Amino acid sequence: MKALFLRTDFYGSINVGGSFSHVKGFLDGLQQLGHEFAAIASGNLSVSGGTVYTIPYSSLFRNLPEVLSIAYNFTLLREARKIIRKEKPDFIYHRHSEFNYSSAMLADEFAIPLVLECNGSEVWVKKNWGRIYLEKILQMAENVQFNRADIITVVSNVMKEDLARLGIDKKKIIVNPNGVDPAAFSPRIDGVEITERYKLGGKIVAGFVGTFGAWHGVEVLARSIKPTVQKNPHVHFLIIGDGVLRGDVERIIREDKVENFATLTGAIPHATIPRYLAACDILLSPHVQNSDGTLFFGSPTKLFEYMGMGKPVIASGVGQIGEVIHDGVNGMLIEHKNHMDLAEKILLLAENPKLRKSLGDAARQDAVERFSWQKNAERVITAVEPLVQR
Amino acid sequence: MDRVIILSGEQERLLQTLRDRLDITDPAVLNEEEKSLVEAKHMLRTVRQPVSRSVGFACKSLALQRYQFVIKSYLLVSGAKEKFLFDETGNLINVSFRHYLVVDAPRFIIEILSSFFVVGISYIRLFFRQRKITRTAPKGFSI
Repeated sequence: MKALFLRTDFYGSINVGGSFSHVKGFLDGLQQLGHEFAAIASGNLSVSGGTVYTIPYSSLFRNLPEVLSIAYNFTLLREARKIIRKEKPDFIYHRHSEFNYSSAMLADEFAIPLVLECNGSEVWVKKNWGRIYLEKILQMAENVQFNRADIITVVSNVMKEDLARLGIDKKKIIVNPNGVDPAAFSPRIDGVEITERYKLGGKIVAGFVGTFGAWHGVEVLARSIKPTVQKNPHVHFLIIGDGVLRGDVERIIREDKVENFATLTGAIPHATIPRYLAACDILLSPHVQNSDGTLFFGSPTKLFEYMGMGKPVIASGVGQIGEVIHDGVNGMLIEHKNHMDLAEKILLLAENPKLRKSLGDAARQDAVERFSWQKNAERVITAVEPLVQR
Repeated sequence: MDRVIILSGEQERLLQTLRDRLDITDPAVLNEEEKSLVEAKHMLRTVRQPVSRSVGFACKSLALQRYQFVIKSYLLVSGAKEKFLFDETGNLINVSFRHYLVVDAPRFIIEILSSFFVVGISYIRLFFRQRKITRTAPKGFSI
């Protein structure tokens, strides 16, 4: 089969972070299963194996971002029609984005199935993590997309329930957690170069990778440094990535006077992440529940990448993380927002290499058997195949 | 005194751009989120107090930086002698009243006028699509 993959968000040219891992992982998984793809993205999408068409956002409306996103539908529809005629895809796979309703129209026009990958309601995201303008249009676009889609893939059960509450038929929602490329994120990767570059030799390295989003719990992570290193000064924190809350993390580290026990690397290319993770002994995922009190609905790519590395993971058991990590079996769970609990678990693992090894091995096994990107693509293909053949 | 307000991007790389392009070596650094740009009072305080020799807004990529008209407006009332916008990759825009009046302001007006058309057409499209869904939806189905 051939998929037409759409990445329509404004930041389509940013090839770092979990969203890019998801895009690349899914497209790689699709190819590993013997399927083809053509992709349309708003920026330069660094993926291989299929034709990538770049349809950039207009240079007008940069001061009115909502209008910019709405206007993108016009450009996208015009160009995508030509691409569909040329590529003749069997189905459209659209990564849901704000104000975008193009795939619903294209699926109708060309009578092909639409798979909508929904990583969160844009209405909710805007209300809780940004500012919402033109809410009515945003809601209408989302409703049209959700209702036209033949299949909606969501990353967690929490999100499935959220969509069901909006009136979407549960039968067309499939839970498809994020995944990992187990060959790229593997215990065989060598982290010596990173260990030497950051002078981590002889230390127990607790690592985190992420884009410092509101849901990543980076403040919890930063606050855990002081109680950890007070009890075990051999522990060093390697904090990989960049994002809006980085300033807050740096401030906490400064205030706690633990600058010598933490290294912030800044943003790094996705392809180099495995080498950084390989330099770590323990990996951290201290996610927090949503700021409005609702349950965390994400499926953190980093969690599966950590597991793929065969490293012990310490994570908060929010949302899907609690379903994936079984405390004491393939990782350790901490209480959400509890930096002291995080510090205690880091100390426990720092002093127990056998436990680190057994947790890491179990995590790796789960990553390979249940959470590879190939499995992720397979779940989509299984769902869409009957619709294509019909 | 020089001041830099970082909206996005990595501080070290951004400061390198400043060193390379403007020979500014030790600016006061403030971090702000892009969504703060619509808080006029807060942003005016940020750019004006105290009045600096130079003020710049920094971001990961100028090509992806939205609200540039708003940013330029803040810079123009900052009272600073040098005003600029720059990014991690070394791109830098010097902000001047002349360019603002001749290029930026007319462009912003065009954006506002065109937005009525874009939003209007989309509203109509979505309205009819929603109506179609509601008509064909099973009983008890809501959107």
